[in-house]
Amino acid sequence: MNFNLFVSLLVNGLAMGMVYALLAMGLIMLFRSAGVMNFAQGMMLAVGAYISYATQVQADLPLYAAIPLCLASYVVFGLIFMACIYLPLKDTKFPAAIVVATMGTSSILSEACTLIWGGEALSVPYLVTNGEGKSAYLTIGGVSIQWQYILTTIVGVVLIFLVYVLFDKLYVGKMMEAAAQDKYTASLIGIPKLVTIAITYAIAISLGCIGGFMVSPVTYCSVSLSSLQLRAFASVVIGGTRSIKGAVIGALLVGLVEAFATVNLSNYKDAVVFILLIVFLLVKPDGLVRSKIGDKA
Amino acid sequence: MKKIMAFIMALTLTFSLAACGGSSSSAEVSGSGGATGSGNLAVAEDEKVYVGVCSHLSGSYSYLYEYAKESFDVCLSYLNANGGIMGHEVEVVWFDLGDSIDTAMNAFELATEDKRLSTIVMSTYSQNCLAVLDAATAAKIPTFMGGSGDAINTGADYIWMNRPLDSSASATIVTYAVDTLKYTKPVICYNTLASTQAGAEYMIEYLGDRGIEVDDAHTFGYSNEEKNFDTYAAQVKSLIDAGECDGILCFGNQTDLAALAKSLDAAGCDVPCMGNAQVINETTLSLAGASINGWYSVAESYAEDEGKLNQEFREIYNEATGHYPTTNLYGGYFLFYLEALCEKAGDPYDRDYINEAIKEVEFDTPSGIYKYWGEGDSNLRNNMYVCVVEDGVAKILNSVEYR
Repeated sequence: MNFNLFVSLLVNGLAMGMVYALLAMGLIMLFRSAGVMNFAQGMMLAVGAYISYATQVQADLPLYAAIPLCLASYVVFGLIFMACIYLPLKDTKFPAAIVVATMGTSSILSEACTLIWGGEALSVPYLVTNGEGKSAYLTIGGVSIQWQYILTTIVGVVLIFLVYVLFDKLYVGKMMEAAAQDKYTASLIGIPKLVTIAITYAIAISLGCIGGFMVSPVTYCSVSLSSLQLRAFASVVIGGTRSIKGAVIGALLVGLVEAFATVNLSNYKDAVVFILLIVFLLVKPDGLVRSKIGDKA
Repeated sequence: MKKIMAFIMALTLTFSLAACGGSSSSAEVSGSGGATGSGNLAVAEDEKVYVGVCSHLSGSYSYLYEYAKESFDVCLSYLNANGGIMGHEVEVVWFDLGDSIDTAMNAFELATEDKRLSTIVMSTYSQNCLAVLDAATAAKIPTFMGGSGDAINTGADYIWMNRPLDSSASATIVTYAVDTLKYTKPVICYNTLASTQAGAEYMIEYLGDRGIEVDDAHTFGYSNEEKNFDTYAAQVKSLIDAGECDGILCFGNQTDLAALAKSLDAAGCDVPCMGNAQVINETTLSLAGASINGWYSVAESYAEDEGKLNQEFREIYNEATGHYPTTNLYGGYFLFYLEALCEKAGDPYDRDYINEAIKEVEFDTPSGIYKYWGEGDSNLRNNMYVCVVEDGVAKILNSVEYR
């Protein structure tokens, strides 16, 4: 393996790892705040990609208009998602009800996207292109890296940092953390549960959609993007089911393993990732990063 | 007297039984239709001729249904406006194969239970065709499998294929790649679905026959769910830079071929690329854009063919829809083939007669001739086109008859 190939695979793995990290962070946030493992999180990639297509291609908006419009749409979509799935079922006596509802939502979203945009995959433009409309490269010392991957990595790092700042430094983040740890006590001390959950849903869903926005120029825009959800689940298990930091580390590991597995093991790339998952379940079932707060007795 | 009456009654009974006698197990096809019939009849009370078409009305392949629906609607309107089949109006009944093999099998079972159907047309995905092979044979309804996998070509009765086999496509690709494009060190990229993997394995085998061995380091398989081809492209580029690759051969489906083309182009893999018929599929060309220009392919049908038959069909299509048909839009032409089969059979409802007629009818289509090639061979085709993509359009280079 030469150096150029190594760097290409490394950057590719990190970029895809960032996408998985965005999905996984959203999963963890929803799991901790609402106790729900969101089986529709993968479809958020697809929804984000389709909204990106709608703004950049169908509406032909320039990037400086498309990006804020997409972000606003993602937040609104997250709130609608919460209103339709969480609110009606939050007091249900059957804990599995919301989980099953998310599974159904995934199917509904898939059919809705197909109904609106058709069944064929759609092409979304790269964020940085050369004069011919193809993906632009950054070349340093003979090593060429796609700008799309660089930007995906940068966006991922920024969002991870923002989530860290939110939960570690900001009061609203501490409110959300408190409500996630103990809803009853949090409500007793005046933390508005509904507001914190709404913020959580808006952020979690938006993270997934932003992942779709960044990855769709590479992967095309289609409902099959939801299949990347399995990578996110693997990341959560590897990193630790209650730790955002662990989910990020797990996702980067999954992305890198996936990228390097295409060398000599391309047919079995998916198997390699899930063998890694099984190894972690056997050796370190709590994940790489244990949460400081255990489950309540 | 009683004895005479008994004798006359016995004689009458004997002649009556002979007149109503059972059908022959092997149908003899005659121009006027056997007076007795085969007994394996479609039953349509409204006297329409029904054709069952199994397609993907829902799910991620639903765009295939959109193409098929338009094509069949055009051909159906034209056929019915010109008297239908033997004076009977023709109607298409659609069955939804959905997204999974289970749904496909259920849909096909529904089709076989529909007593009105004279024939069934099955989806272009070989996995679905393989899943329903046994059911199709058991149902005794002539079924035209849209898949191209060699495993479908069992020679089983009532099973027919009107697309060239993947092995034929692979042979044509390898012949052109080695003889014309002068490949000596090819890299092979393929979708690991059963049908496309089989196509890739045939290519490796045929390259071996030509003295070109392809090792694991020069083959890249990817799953049907693969989204990111840049890692594969980076490795291919590495091989090209090391002088270990002078051409790329691909065997896949529309979306993955388009993504692969984009990635190879972005990585700067400037060696000849050649792939199976899906390369020049409209979806692939649309998604890949300029990155697929210069790719070679083998095509099962060629929308721009200058042949008289194709030009006539193109004009009929344009008049009906306002646009000319692309390669995705030739599926409905099957109805004209069915018309010829029914006329040969003498009965548009006799499934056995129609099945036998397939063995006797040589039918010219815009894609090539449908012809029976003998016992044990379900495949009706013998030709493909070699094409190159220029400015997003496939240009024919030559037509190849591979048998």
